[in-house]
Amino acid sequence: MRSPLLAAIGGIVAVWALLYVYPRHDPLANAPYTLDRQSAVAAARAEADRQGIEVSDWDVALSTDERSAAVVYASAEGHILRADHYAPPVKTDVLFRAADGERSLLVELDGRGQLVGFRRRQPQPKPKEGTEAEAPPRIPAEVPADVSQALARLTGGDAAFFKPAAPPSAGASQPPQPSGVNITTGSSGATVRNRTIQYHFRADSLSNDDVTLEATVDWLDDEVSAASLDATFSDAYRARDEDWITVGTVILLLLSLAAGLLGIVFYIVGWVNGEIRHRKMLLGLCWIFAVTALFYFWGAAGEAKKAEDSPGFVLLLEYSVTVLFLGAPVVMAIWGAGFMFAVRSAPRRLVDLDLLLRARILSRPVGRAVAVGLGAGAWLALFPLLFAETGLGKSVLSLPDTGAWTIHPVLSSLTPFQRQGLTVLALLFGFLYPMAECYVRRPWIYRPLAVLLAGCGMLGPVFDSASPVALLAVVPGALLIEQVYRRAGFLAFLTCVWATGPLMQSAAMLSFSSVTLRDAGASILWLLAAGLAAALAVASFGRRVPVEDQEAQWKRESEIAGRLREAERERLLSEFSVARRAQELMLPASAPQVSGFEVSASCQPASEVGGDLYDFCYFNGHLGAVVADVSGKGVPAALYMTLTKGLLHSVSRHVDSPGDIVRELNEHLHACAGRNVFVTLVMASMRPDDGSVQCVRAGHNPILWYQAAESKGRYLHSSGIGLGLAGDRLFRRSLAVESIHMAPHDLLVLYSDGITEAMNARGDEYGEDRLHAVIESHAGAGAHDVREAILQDVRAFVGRTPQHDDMTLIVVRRGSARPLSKGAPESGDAAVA
Amino acid sequence: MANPFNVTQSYQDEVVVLVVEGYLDAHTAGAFEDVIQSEIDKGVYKIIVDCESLTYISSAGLGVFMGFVEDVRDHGGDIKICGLIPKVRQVFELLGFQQLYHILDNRDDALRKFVDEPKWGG
Repeated sequence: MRSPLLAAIGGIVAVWALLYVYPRHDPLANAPYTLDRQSAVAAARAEADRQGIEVSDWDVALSTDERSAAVVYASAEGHILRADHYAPPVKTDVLFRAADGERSLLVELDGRGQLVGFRRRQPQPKPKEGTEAEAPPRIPAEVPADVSQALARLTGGDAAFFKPAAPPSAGASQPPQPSGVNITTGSSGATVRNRTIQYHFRADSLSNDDVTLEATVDWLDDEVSAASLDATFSDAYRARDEDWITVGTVILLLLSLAAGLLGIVFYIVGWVNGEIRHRKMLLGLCWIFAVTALFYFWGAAGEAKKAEDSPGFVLLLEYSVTVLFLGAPVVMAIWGAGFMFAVRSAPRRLVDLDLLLRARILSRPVGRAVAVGLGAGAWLALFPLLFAETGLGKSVLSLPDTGAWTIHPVLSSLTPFQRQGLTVLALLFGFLYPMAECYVRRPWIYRPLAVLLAGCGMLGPVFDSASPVALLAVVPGALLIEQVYRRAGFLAFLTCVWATGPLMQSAAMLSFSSVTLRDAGASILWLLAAGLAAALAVASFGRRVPVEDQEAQWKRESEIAGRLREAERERLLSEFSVARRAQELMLPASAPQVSGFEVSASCQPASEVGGDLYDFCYFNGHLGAVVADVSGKGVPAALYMTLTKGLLHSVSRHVDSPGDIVRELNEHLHACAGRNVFVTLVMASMRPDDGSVQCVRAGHNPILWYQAAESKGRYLHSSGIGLGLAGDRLFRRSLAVESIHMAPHDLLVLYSDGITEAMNARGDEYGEDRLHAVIESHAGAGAHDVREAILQDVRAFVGRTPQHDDMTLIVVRRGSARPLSKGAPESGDAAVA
Repeated sequence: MANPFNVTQSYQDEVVVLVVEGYLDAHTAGAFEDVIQSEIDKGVYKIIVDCESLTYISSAGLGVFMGFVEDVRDHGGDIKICGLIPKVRQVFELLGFQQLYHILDNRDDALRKFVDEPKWGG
C-alpha cells in the first residue's frame, strides 16, 4: 500500500460499510438509551426533590453500567414485558453526596431515564448511654402506604403484578449475613435487618424461565430509605451467555511473558554490544508520559473515579508510578531490543516512527504512514463485521470498559491505553518479528506464525467473546496488519491497530438513540477524517526526508558495531595465533642426547601466550640446556623470545663458556631491547661422560640439583641479574658460574616460574618445596618419567584453575655407563598443546 | 574484576614517596607508569617507592622500574625501593634488583639514603 491516497479512499469506503453493518451485530445498538449526562442528573434531582432531599450543593458522581447478560437478553426472543426497564441493558447511577460524607442519595435510572431504584443514607442516631439495645421493630400487619407508593413509582402501571413474597432463602443473590444482625421473617415476605424492615415483592406472572423479576423496598424510622428493581437471571441462562475464554487469550499471556523475558535479555546483550539506542527509548517513554498526562488531565479516567475524591493530579501520579515506572520501562526495553533487530534486518520500517518520536511530525514519511494506517485501520475494523454478516459465527461486540459513558466519550475513545490488544500486537511486531527476521532464515516459518499470533491478539480489541470459528474472522485482519507492517512500516502499523478502537466506538455510539452519544460518535469520525486529511496534506506537501539516508545510517551504525566486535575478536585470535606459532617454531623438535646424560624437556603453554623458551646449544663440545623467560606476554614477548633464541645460537658459535655466552646475550639485549624488557635465563652446560656441569643463573628461578646419594636436593642460587637490565660491567660483576659434579642418577631440573607459581583455586602456589618433594619421590626414575611426574603433580595441584604462565621444564639425569636408560623415549617432547 | 592497585604520593623536601598498594601486574602497570611519568614531568627526580602494602609484582611491574630508572638517574635523581615484604623481596632478588637499586628496609632509611648517597654509583 504505497499510495496513501489509495489507502485513504479505501478507508472511507470501509468506514461507510462499517457504519452500515455495525448496528446489525451489536445488540446494545438497539437498546434504548436516550440519556445524556445532563438529563440523567436532572432526572435524579427530580427524584431527590420528590423525596424532599436538598441536593443542590452536594457532589454529583455518575456512572453507567452495561450488563452483558441483560444486553443479550434484551435482543433475544422471549423477553419479558418492558425488558428494557425491568432488566435494563444499560443502567445509570447518579450519586449525590453531601460534603460531610454522612448523607448521600443514590438514584438508579434505566436507559430512558426512568427510575429503577434509589438508596438514601443518613447519619444513624447513636444510642444513648445506659439505655438497653432497642428491640428490633415489629413488622406491621399491613404494608405501609409509603412502601406501596415507592413500588408504584418503580413499576409504573405494573405495580399490581408485584406481590409480597418471601426473599429467596439461599439464592445466589443473597449476600452472606454479617453476624450480629437480627433477622426475622414475617409471613408477608418482609425481613428485618437490625432496625430496617425490608419488603420483598415478586412478579411471577411477568417472569419466565430465564429471568425472575423482583423488587425490594426498605423501611427505616418510619420512612422509605431505599427501593430497587432486580432482575435475576437463572443460572442456566447465564451459562449460555458465558464468555468463552479463547485459547487465544492464553496464548497471548504466554507470548507476552516470553517476549518480556527475551526482550530484557536481548536489551542487556545489545547494551553490552553498544547497539542499543537508549535515547530513542527514553524519548518513547517521554512521549507515553506526555500522552497519558494529556488524557488524564482532561478527565478521560472517568466520572466514577471522581467520586473517590481524588484530584486528577493524584490519579496521574498513581497511574505513573504503577504503570509507567513498572510497566513502561519493561516495554521500552523490549522495544529497544526490537529496534536493534529491526535496524539489522529492515531499518526502513522504523524511520517514520523515529521521525514522529523526534517531533518531526510534518515530514512526508510520517504523513504517509498515518494516512495508510488510518485507511487500513478502517478495513481492520470492518473485517470481523463482514464475517459476522456471513452468519458463520456468533460474535458479541462490545465497547471496551470505559466505553461511551464517561464524561468525555470522545477522549476516552481516542486513548490508546485501555487496549491490551494494542500492546500485545506492538510487542509482536515491535520485537518478536524483527528478532525472527534476524535469526530465522526461513520466512515461511515465522510469517504464518506471526499472522496467527496477531489474530489471537486481535481477539482482544475487536471481539469481547468469540467462538473458535471467529478465529477465522481475524485471519484476514491479521494478514492485513502483517502486510501493513512490512510494506508501510511500524508507525503505519501502530496507527492501523489503534484506529480500530475509535472507529468501533464511533460506530457504536452512532447506533444509539442518545443524542449525546450520537454527537460524540460523529465527532470522533470527524476527528479521524480531519486526521486523515492532515496526514494526506503532510504526505504531499510536508518536508521531504530522505528515508534512504536514515536507513543507511542506521544500518551502517549497526554494521560498524558488529564489525567492531568481529574485528576485536579476530585481532585477539590472530595475535594469539602469531605468538603461538612463533613459540611452536622456537622450540626444538627433540631433546638432544649427550653421552652419559639423559635429557627430557617440555613446554606447556598457557592460555595467554607467554614468553617461555627452552633450547639446547652446543659449544666447545658441551651441550648447553637453557630455559629462558621473556618479560611480558603475547606477540611482543614472542618476538623477544625469537631474538633471544637467535642470539643464543649465534653467540654460542664463537664463545666457549656459559658465563661468556650469557654476558654476550646481556650486551646484545641491553642494547637492542626496550628499556623495560628483560629476559631471565638459566643454563646448564654438560660435558659428555664427565658428569661435570657448569650452571649459570641470570635472574631466573634457581636450578634444582638432586643428589641421589644423599637423597636431597639443593637449589643453586648463584648470583646473576636478568639479561638486558644492565650494561656489561655491572652484569659481569654480579654473575657467578657454579660448577657441580653430577654423580650417577643425580637429577638437574631447569624450570620456569610457571611451575613454581602455578596456583590452585585457593590461591596457594605450587612452590619449590612441592617440586623438591615430587622429585624426591621419583628419584629412581628416568628423565622422561621424572618430567612427566612433575607435570602431573602440578596439574593435580592446580585442578581446574586456569594458568596464566607457560610451564617449561628440562630434566637432566646423569645416567650410568650407558647413554640411554631403559624405557625412556629417544627424544624429549616439544609438547605444544 | 581486576586485582586492585593504588598509588598515593606524598612529598618530603625534594623527594616524592610513592606508596604502592595491591597488585602490580600487566593490567595495573600502566597506572604506575602514569604516576611516575607525572612526577618526572613536574621535575621531581628523587623517587622512593614504598612497597609495604605491595602484595604482588610481575615482570611487567618490574619493567616499569627499568623503564624510568635510567632517565631519572641521568637527571641526578634515583628510584629507591623500601618496605618490601618477603615474598616480593624474593622476586626482586631473584632478578638481581639488589645490584641495580638501593633497596632499603623502611621509608626513613630510604630518605636518609637520598642524603647519604643521592646518586647511584656504579
